Amino acid sequence: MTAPAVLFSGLTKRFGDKLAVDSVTAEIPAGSFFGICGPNGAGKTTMLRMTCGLLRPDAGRVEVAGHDVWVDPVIAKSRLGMVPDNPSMFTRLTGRELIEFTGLLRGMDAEVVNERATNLLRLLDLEEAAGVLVADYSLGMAKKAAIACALLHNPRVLFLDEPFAGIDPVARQVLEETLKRFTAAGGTVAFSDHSMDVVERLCDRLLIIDDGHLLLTGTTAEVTQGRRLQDVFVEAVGGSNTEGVDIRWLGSSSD
Amino acid sequence: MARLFLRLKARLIRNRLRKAGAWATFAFIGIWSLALGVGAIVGLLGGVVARLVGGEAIAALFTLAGIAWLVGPVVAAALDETIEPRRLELIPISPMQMSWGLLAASLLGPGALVTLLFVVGVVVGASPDALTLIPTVLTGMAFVVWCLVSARWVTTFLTDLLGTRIGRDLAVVAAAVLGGGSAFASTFLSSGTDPLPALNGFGRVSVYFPPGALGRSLGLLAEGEWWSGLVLLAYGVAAIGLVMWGWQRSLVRLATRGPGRVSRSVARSQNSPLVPRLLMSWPSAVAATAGKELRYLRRDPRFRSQAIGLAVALAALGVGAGRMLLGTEYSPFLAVVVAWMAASTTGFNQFGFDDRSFWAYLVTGVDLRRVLAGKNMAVALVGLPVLALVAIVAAALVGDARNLLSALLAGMAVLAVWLAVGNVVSVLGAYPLPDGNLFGSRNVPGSALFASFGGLFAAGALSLPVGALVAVPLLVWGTWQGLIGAILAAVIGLSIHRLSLSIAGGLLENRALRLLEILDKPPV
Repeated sequence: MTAPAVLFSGLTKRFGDKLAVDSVTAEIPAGSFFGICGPNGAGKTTMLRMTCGLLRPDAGRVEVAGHDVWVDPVIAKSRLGMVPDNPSMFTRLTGRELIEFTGLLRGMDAEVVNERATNLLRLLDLEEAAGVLVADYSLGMAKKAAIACALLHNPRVLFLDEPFAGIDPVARQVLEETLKRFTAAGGTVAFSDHSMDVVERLCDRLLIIDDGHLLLTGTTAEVTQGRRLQDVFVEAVGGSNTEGVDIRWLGSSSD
Repeated sequence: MARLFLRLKARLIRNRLRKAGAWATFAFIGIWSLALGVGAIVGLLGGVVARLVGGEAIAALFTLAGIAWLVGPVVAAALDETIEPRRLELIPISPMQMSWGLLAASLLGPGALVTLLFVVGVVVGASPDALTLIPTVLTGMAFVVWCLVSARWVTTFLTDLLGTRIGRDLAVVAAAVLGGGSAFASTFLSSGTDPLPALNGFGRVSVYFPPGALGRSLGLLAEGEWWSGLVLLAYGVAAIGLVMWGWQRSLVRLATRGPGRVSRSVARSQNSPLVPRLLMSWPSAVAATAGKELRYLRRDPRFRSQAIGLAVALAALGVGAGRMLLGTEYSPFLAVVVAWMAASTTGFNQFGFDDRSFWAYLVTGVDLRRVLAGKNMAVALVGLPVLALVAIVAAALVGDARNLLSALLAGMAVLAVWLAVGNVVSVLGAYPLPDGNLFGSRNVPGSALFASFGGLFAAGALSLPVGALVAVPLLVWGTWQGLIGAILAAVIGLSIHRLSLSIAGGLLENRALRLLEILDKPPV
C-alpha cells in the first residue's frame, strides 16, 4: 500500500472561544482527487492553511508526502502547491513575471522556470495575457495564474480553496482539465468547494466537516451510498431552521 | 446623516480597539493625549499671538494650519482613519449627503481636536468683548470646516489622481514644487532678525489663500471692522463651497470609475527596463525580489505616494542642509541626505507593501531573510546612483572633489544603517498598505506605531556615531583622515546591515505567521 499524500492527525485549532478545527484525523491517498466539504465557517480554510504551513495548529500533525509541515517546513513546502480562496498576488507583475518570480523564490533554475512558465501559460490559456499585469486579470485569469504558480515546481499535492468560485464556465473547464491531467500523472489534488455537484463529479474521495468536527470521510461512493451528495451533505450538517420567520413583507411594494 | 456617520466612525474605532488589544488601546490613548496636549499648547500660543499681535499674524497662523491640513493626509497617509468612501457606493445617498456625513465623521479625529483647540485659543485671544465673540466664533468654525473639507478633498482627489500614470507623474512634480516652496517659505521666514514682521508679512500675502482670508476676517471682526471682515468671511465661505463641490465631484468619480482605470493605465508598462529583467533572470531569491521591487517602484502608486510624502517632508531639510553645505568643500555630503531619503522610501514597513500577498512568500518556503536582502538591494540599486550623482554634481559645482569619496562612503554607511534598522522594525512593526486604497483605513497595530518611533530613534542614534567617524577627523585633521573615517564608517554601516539581516531573520522565524495574520486582514 502506498503512503498517503497527506496525513492529518489530531489536527486542532482554536480562535479564542471558537474551536475552528477539532482533532481531525484523516488521510488523502496519493493520486486522489479529494474534496473537502462543509458549510461556511466549518473550518475548511483553517484546515487548508494549517496544512500548507500558513497557520500553526494548536495540536496535531500534518504530513505532506511523508514530511511534517511544522517540523520540516522547507521540504514539505517543496512538495505542495497552494491556491487560496480569492488569492492575493503580486498584482503589479505580469502573469509571466509572477510565475517566474515564484519559481525563483523556490530556488528553481531560471531556464527551467522560463520553460515551464511558457508551458503552463499555454496549458491554462493565459498565453495571450502573459504580458498583462495581474491587476488587469479577471478573477478566473487570476485563479489560473495562481494555479500556474502552484504547479510550477511540480508539487506532489495541490491544495485549492474554492477554486471554482466566481469563475465563468470556460475558465472552469480549463481548470478542471488541468487538475484532471495533474492527478492522471500521479499528482494529488485536495480542494474545498460549496458546490456538491462539482465535488461529486470530480472527486474520488471526500470529507465533510462541520463546526470543526469531521463528520464523514471515505470514497465518494462510500459517503453517498447511491444518494445525491447534496442530500447527504444537508442531512449530515443539518438544514437551516426558518420556521416562524415572518417574511411576508419581502417582495411586497416598498414605495 | 451627520449623526449617523459620527456614530459609524465611533463604532469603527471602538470595534477596532476591541479586536486589536492592549497595544492599540495604549497607542490610541497616547495619540489622543498627545493631540490634547499639542492642542492646548497651540491654542495657548494662538491666543497669545491673537491678543498681543492680532491682525495679519492670525492670517499667517491660519494659513500655516491650512497648509498642514492639505499636506497632512499625503505625508501621513498610512495613519488616515477616514471612512473609506468607496465602501458607501451602494448606499442610496447623494454626494452632498455623503460629503456632509464624511465631514462630520472627520471631526472625530486627533487632528480635528488640535485644530479646534487652536481655534478656540485664537477666538478667545482675539475677541475683546462678548459682542465680537459671535462673529469670530462663526469665522473660527468656518476655518475648521475649511480644514476638514480641503483635507478630505485632497485625499479623495489624490486617490483618484494617483491611479493614473500621468497623475502620478504630475503628483511627483507637484510634490517637488511644494517641497521647494516650503523650503523657500522657511528661508523667507528665517531670514529676518525679528519673526513678527516676517509673520505679518506672510499674513499679508496669505490673505488671498482662503484660510488666510478667514484668519484676517477673524482679526478684522474682532477689531470691529465689520464690513472688511464680512467680505473676507464671505470669500472664505465661497471657497469652502467651491472645494466642497470639487470634493463631491471627486467622490462621484471615485465611486463610478471602477478599479479598471488604475490597471489599464499601468498595463502599458508591461515591458520592464533592463535591470529588473536581468535580476529576474538570475537564479536567486535575493535578485528576484530586487527585480520585483524595482518593477513595483515603477508601477505601484503606493511607492509614489510614499515618495511624495517623503519628498515634501524632507525637501525643506535637504534645502536647509544644502544652504549650510553648498559653496564649501563639504557640498558632496549632500549625498548623505539622499541616502537617508532612499532608505526612508520603503521605510520601516517593508512587508507592508506586500500586503495580502505575503502568503505567497511563506508558501514557497523561501528564507525571508533573502526576501529582505532583495528589498534592500532594490533600494541600494536606486539610491546609490542618485547619491553618487548628487555628490559628483555638488563637487563639480564648487570645483572641489577632495571630499567626494568620503561623502560617497558616508552616504553608503548611512544608507546601510537606516536599511538595517528598517529591516528589524519591518519585522516587529509591520502593517498593511493595501493596493488601490491609498488613503483608506488601515489595520495599523499599536505596536507598529511604537516600532516606527523606536526605529526612528534607533536609526538616528546609530547614524550619529557613524557620521561622527567621518565628521570628526575631517573637521579636526583634514581630508585624508576624513577618508579613513569614512572607510571605517562604511565598514561599520555594512556590518550593522549584515547583523540586522541575522537579527531580522531570527525574529522572522518566530514572527512570520504573526506578520501573515497582520498583513492578511482585509482593510477595514
